[in-house]
Amino acid sequence: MTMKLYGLAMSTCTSKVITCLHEHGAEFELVPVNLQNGEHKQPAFLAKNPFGQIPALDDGDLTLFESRAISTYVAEKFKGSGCDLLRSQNPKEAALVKAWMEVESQQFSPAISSIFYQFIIVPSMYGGSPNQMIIDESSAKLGKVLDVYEKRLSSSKYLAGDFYNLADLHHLSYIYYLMKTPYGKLINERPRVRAWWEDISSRPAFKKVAAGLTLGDKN
Amino acid sequence: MVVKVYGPVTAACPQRVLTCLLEKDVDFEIVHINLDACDHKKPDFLLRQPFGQVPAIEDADFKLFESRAIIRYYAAKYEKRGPNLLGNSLEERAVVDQWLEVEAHNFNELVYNLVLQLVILPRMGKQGDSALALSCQQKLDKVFDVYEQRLSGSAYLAGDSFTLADLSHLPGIRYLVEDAGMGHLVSQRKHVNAWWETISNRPAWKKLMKLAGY
Repeated sequence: MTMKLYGLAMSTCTSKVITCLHEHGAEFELVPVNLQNGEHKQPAFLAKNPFGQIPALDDGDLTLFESRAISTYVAEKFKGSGCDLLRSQNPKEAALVKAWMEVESQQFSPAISSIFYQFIIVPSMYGGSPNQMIIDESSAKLGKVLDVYEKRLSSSKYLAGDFYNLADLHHLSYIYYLMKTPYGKLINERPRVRAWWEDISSRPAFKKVAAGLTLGDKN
Repeated sequence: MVVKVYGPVTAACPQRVLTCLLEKDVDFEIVHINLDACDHKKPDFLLRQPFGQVPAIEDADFKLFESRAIIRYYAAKYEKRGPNLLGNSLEERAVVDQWLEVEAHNFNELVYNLVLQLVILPRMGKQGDSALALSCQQKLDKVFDVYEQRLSGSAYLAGDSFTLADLSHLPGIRYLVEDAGMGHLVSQRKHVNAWWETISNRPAWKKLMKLAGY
């Protein structure tokens, strides 16, 4: 039975999982969830994710939510397919991958998601104006996080070591959206971060996903 | 050689790590970090944790930070010792991971902000933001409703056994119940209350409470 991923191609959280699926060549069906109609708050979806958030995954008897738990599950399940994003054979490398996954989750995403929400979501989905004070505050926070990344990447090709891993992958969609805004300069101003971004975003698995990251595009 | 845990024993994130080490009977040494003196922002600490946060660990020549990464590492390293905190099959592990993510994303920030406004800022002689505190409390109410539903069908968050997903909640709920006057969020919910009573009576957690001087 094919895995079903409930979510939207343009969503940062759903696309995190889609990128991981593509890296492993795993087959899946994307089942769109109509957020505008509140489908994610209806009983059928709440039965999959009681917090009413996308994405959720059905794989046989297993239902999972939380994008990072889903991507970790996919990476574990398909690790034999020539792709080793978790380094699970080496406990210390695996621990470093988990540490930098936590950094993305606890330090990076809260800052970048505020910029993304104000600059892209508020105008395109709500017809409102971005709150510049929030953007400025979040840019300052993100800048400090990226300073740490710049230093880290001077001694390590990727965040957790010299191997592309799930921690790097989890950054892709938010940075892709950031680069569509003037705040992409936060990446471009840091040469090692920029080089890392160019490397990880040129991977074929992500290029497939990037085409679907259309939030805020004027059609 | 013992595991060195850098951070105050009274802070939530170091407590997450210390509880895991106690559950697994791993010897450790707490290296106190004085947050009031901003020791965690000084150059030698930033070498351990470049974001200037506690905890960090040093285990012989291995160094790690981020409390949830540290507990995952030790739960895996000592998988066969003490309680199985990770789950057995790939699917069980994924469900443990899922609820650990819930704690990190749906629970932690609300508790952190609530405790900051109601407890930490007043302790520092500053004014807390009561509107923010109320907003956090209302959102936390909804999160606990989900937990109540989950725990009505399952003794622990990820299934029938105590795992990292439950462990990760201990420090935050202690702050809510003991320091922030928010015990009713737990006690008014039959299954959440029973779960909290069970997990907070585990010997490892009780040992930590003694170490922390509570």
